[in-house]
Amino acid sequence: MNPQTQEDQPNNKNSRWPTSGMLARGTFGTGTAAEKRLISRNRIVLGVVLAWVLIGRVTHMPKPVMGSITVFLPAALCTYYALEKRKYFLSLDELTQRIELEGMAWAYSLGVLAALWVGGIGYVVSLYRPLDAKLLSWAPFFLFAIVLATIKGAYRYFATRRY
Amino acid sequence: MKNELRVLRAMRHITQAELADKLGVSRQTVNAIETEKYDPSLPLAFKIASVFECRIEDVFLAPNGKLGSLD
Repeated sequence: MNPQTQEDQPNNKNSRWPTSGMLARGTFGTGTAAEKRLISRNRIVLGVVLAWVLIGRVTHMPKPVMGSITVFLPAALCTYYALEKRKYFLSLDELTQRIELEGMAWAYSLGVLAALWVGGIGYVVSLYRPLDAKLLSWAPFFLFAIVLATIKGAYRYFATRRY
Repeated sequence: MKNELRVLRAMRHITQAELADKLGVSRQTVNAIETEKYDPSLPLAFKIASVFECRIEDVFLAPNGKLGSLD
């Protein structure tokens, strides 16, 4: 017989999710192999970014080369991290997958809303203050929201073909 | 959804973590099912019934406590 842990006590209603790991690493903190893998990949990505920042400061590369790497390196690393995150997501159980999907749904809904407001306000204010380039730079947020909504709409369309 | 998971687990002296291992889910998921905060999917419900070698309706009860009716 196994000794009863606190979470096994009949009156205990606390699921005791590891909060610190969750907030610090963006995972559920359950210590699975997939989670450890994601954390190690996360560190690799951060390490490469830091290494590039240091290299950029020490070496004197031509500006176009430097600019290209500075733009494409984070994009490539984010793509790599997104693929790793997908593997982690697929390793989750049904409750944690559901929580993760709900989080994404909220992030999408609020993100699109925020992007629409920021982009819209930036655009309208720039009409009154045409020389203020900072305000006009907010306008792409509006486009970003439209792109996201289009992707979601397209996904909905193709997903419903399966059922 | 009401369930007898905690009782069944206690009868077999299985901890939440051990049950979670057998089911391939996290301990927190087992806890969430036990405390009726989360209703498992049908495949997971069948898996739970299989672990306890009983029928699915022996583990999970309809909201009114009767089988075959959700009124």
